[in-house]
Amino acid sequence: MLFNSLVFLIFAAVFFAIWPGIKNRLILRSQFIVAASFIFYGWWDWRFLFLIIGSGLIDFLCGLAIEKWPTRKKLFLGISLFGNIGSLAVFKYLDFFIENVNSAGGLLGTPLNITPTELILPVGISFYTFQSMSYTIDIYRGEMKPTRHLSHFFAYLSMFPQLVAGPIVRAKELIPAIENGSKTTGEDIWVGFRWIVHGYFKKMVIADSFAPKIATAFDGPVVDSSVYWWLIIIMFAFQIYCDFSGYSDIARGLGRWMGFDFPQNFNHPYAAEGFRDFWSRWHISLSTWFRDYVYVPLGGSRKGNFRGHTNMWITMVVSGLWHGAAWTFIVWGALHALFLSLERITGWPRRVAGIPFVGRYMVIVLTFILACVAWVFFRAETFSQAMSVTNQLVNFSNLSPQTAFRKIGTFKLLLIGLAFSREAFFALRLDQLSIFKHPQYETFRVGFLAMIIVLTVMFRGPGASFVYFQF
Amino acid sequence: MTNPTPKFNTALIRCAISIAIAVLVLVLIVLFRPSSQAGVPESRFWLNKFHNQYDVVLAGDSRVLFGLSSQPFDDLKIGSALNFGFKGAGLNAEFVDAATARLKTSGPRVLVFGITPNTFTPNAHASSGFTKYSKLAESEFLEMPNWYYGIQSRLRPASLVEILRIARGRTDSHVETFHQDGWVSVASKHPDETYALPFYRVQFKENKVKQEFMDSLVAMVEECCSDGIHVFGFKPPITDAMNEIESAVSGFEYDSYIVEFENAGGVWLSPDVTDCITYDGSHLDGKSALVFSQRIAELVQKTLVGRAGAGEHRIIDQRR
Repeated sequence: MLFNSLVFLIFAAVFFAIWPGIKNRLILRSQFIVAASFIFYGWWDWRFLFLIIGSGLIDFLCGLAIEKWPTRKKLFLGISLFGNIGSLAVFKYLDFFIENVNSAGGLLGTPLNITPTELILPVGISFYTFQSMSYTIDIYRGEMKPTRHLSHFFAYLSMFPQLVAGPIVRAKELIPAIENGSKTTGEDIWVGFRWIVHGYFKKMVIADSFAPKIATAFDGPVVDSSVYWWLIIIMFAFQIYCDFSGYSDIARGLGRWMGFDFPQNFNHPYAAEGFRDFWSRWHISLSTWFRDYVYVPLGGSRKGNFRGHTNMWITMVVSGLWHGAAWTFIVWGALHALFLSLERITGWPRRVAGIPFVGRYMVIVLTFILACVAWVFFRAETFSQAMSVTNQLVNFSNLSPQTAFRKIGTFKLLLIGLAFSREAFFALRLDQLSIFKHPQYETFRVGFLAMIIVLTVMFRGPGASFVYFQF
Repeated sequence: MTNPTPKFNTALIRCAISIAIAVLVLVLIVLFRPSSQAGVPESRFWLNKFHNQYDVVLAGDSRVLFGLSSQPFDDLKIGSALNFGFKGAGLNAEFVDAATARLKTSGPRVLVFGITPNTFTPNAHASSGFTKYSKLAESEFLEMPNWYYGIQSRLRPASLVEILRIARGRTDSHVETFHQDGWVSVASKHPDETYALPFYRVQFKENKVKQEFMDSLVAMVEECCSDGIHVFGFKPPITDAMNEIESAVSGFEYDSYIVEFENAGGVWLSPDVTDCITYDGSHLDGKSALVFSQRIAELVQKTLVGRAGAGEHRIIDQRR
């Protein structure tokens, strides 16, 4: 079920009509969340439910076993990790592995021709397996007690607002909230509403309007214009940001309406001052997951500079691979590792930011440009296409701005301007102005949100799925 | 000064007022925004093109979509006809296969191609204009009452062009009616025969016609003829200014292509178009489309009668 579909609006209306009546009843509340979430998830393909139930059951039982037999906790953690990583390996990475084995065989002169499995990738598998893994790892580390209620566990694992595209919620934060009950305050209702409205606008107006132009650029004949490709990549940067952060905003808003506070997933990443800052603002729930469960266990930066860089490269490359089973994603992760390494070694953001008046803004612009270059590899179908697009980006002898503006169109150019203005608003810290804290501002905000709803309906792009579902 | 935390009911009221204002504005839009569509609901309209078999299939891009009605083919008793036109469609194998699949296996079996330079460009061949509809499944659509489609039409996404039209006070200037036979007729109160010129001036930049696409259609015409299908071609009427632009920038030459088309067994139709009016320089106005369709149907009928008199396949055999 897509958030931007009529069927979801009906589903949500029914859910929130029933929710106030049962949210104070401990077990029933969890069962209701599980039932609703399974309907939500099974709407794509009911067969996917078997996988989430199967891998969830393994983790639930492993959690209990780790507590009961602490001397064998490594074994049970191993079983849990094997179940989760195993299902990811089979559904997401097996064909990538086969493809590479076939290629390697061909290069070595012994063609293997292993047939790919072509299994359907269950929606959101990377999100819920990571969420499930954090549950058993936290129990293993003694950071939380396992829940004894299957329905509480599955309410945590499958909670529909964040099931298929995050934010990735930690068990030690959400399960106690499920067990203790949730109280929805006026603040929750109002903040949740604002997030939902903004989330839909970002997804349906900005991301969905950019999507066809970007698809045409990457699927169609190569356009010889540097300006065109810069505009396409800037559009993609905002498409993926608005698509994903729009989803997160809607998820967080729905969560607040239920009385749960999901973690912030995006914090204006294109206003970042350097790549360390970028990763503290982009997909925060995933980057902190990788920090806590990959980077820190590898030793982090505690074992010297070289090991610190190596651990960071491993984490970023694995993060790239998490996004997709293709070399382009690995290169994307490696590029970010490179940017982070250069930043650590040279400290350039600090130095450049020291330039009077413009320094900080120069850092923001440079970070954005480099992030855009990395996005080329994220979006390209193949490595050679990514290289060809990168060549176009730096081919300043053929700017062809007229071709670019004609192909992009006035409306999309206006939207690019809007997307930039939105980030500039936060980069310039205009949100800190006292006018936005004035009590009367809330009255204005009521009308402003109404206007956003109307604009979302009237300027929505062609309906499309959320980009991050494929991960 | 800080924003006080709202009470539960205050928050609910704020949300309700926001939604109410938005709904009110949207209701006003539904009431006062002119519907750009009438006739068959658009979703059903496209689906219809992939259902049933016909005696005559009229295939091509938007100039066929807007320019040919099936009515005269019925009136002249040639047989049932389907307008198989799609915006931006390219005449490639996938498209021609889909068009011939709509022909009955018996009866006159007439395939009429509207040939335009656009139909041989790389963009048209890669276009989703046809493919996105060819992949539609029946199950993707629910039959809804007509008022639903009325609201849906009025809440269609707005465009800058429409906003400019409203700003110029031309709110009801363009109404498209979706007909059961696959034709879209346009009633334009303010036809502007120069409107599409700037678009076509740039359309063929880095997107010129390709010889291989033209050759491919010729081969398919030959194949259709050998299968006993009567294949016709025509040039959809456009303004002189549009004609000049297309001749100059598209890389397509009608004269030489007509020769190849006819050598492959197709019949080229050249009806009188002097009184045909386009609403934008490129697409026929609804009334002109009816006149033009009548003339095309008459020429098709004349050829079919001639062929029947000469023995159905003898002419084709002689050409080969």
